[in-house]
Amino acid sequence: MWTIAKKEIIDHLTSVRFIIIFAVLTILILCSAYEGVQHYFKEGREMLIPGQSAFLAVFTWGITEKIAVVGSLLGIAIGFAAISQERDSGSLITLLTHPVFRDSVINGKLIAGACALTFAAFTSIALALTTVITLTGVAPTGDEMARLLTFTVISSLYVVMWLSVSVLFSVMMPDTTSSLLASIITWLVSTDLIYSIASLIASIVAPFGGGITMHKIEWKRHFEVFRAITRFSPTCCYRDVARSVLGSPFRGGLVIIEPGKPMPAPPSLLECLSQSWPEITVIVVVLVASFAASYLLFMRQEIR
Amino acid sequence: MSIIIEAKNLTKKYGEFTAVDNLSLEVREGEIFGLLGPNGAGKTTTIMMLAGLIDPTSGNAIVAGFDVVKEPRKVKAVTGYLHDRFACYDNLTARQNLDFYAQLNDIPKSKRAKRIDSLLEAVGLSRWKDVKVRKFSRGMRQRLGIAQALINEPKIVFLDEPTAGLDPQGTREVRMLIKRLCREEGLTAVVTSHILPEVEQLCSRIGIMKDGKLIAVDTFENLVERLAPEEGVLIRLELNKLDDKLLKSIEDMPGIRSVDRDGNELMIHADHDLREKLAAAIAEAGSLILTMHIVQPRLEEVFLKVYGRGWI
Repeated sequence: MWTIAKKEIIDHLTSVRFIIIFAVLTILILCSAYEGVQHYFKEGREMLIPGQSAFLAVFTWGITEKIAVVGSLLGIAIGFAAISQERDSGSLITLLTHPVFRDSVINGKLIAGACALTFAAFTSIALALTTVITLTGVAPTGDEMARLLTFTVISSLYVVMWLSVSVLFSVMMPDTTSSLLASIITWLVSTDLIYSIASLIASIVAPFGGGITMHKIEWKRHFEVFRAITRFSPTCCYRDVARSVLGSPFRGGLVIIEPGKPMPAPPSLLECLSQSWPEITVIVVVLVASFAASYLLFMRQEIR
Repeated sequence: MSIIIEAKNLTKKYGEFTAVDNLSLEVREGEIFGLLGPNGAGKTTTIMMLAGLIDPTSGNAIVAGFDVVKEPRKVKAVTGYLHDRFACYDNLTARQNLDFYAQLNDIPKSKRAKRIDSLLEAVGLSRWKDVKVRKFSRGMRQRLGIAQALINEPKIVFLDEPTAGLDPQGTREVRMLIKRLCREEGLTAVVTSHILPEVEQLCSRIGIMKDGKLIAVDTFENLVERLAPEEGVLIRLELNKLDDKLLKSIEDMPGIRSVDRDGNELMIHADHDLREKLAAAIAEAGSLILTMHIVQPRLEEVFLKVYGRGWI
């Protein structure tokens, strides 16, 4: 398994596909960091969102979104051809004619992909951190570092989840093109279309009048339905967890501020994590279930 | 010579379709055994089962002392395999590819480089060892495929259509390479092919497959001999003059199956060699023989007939 994993890691890190998307992701993240810092200078330390550390707010400013959208593409780029390309070209049979266990092949590929993606996530976030520290001249506190580290781990988990999903398609689909198509459709639904779908279902299940006359309870119910549906999307879950971990009170995209009452104090990192466990569970379950399914399918597939 | 491959009642079904049907086979150590048959006869499925790549639906085989169903990894460790659509990693060089396969075979690092160099030398790829495989021609890839099959110093090598898609020179080179390597490394080889001259030149014994069944196993010469009596003999004859009376007397001769006339030339299909009787009849009729010889039956036609019939 390690022989295969080692070869795959080298393949990934030297593949044009990986390098291009990784470069795009890093550039976008650095741009977002710069943009966030500009905002920071304009608004001062207590900027943007009341109650959130300004340092972390710089990261919430765009970086999360770049990982949610482009990071997931990096996961797909590594995974969609994992098995199907080798099957299409015939190198899979050559590989299996040697004394390897079949599960070593798929395990090795997933481990290698996960290593490459974790490396990519840590590198790009570390570069962003360096940029922010250099531009603002402010060093993060211990709590901020802990939150950033947790954010990086969750981001890695999220992109590895996309790897796992695309590996499943690469095992399931008859060829590489269909595999890519299936991955992209899933990605599109998860990152974007889910909002339209959720909004449509919510307006059918829990309609509300809209405008300023809307009833608060009606609105809340509508929003709950909307949120329940978006939870099916790992990207929405990732956005929520990332925001929460980075100390933004806008968890789930909505805070109902009672007039005259002060903003609630931001919860601690542990509180954030315990609040976010359903979303983290969704990401982990999708990761594990996709891997288990691709493992079982691959072990049973006839080679010809 | 001891038996190194022993297959008993191997059957492989894909749904309703039976790819290999109750096949039993013995291959002796050191021989080059050919599996001959048209596309779709079950040759590839058979050697894939023998190499431990796919499980038979029923039946079993012992290959180099290991059970292909229970110990496929051990079978793979002592065999080499060249797939008919052989492919390796285009983004790696010839040497890197072989190094990867050597690692999969747990060949220690100290021995790897030496083994790879000697194999690349043997298949004539030394000059291109650090060139990426994507730049290789079909023939070069095939030679690399042979090297990859031999990386673990196997006892048996399975070669599936080893010359498929090669030009005549490439075909000849690969064929000679297989022969030489088998002799030098003391290998047993199982070669599949649908090309008759290939098995004729390469293999010491052949098995003929049709519709998943093994319909004959023997040496090439014996198979031809067994087929010859049924096929009869073709005699080509050219006379100085040929009248209808002589033609009639030839046609009426016992043992003659058919006579085709083209001017003063005749093509006679007979049960056996009737040249003496024909000569006597022609002399009696007052004609002279300009040429008379037996036309060898075209072997491919003979085998095509066997394929069509399904038994020998």
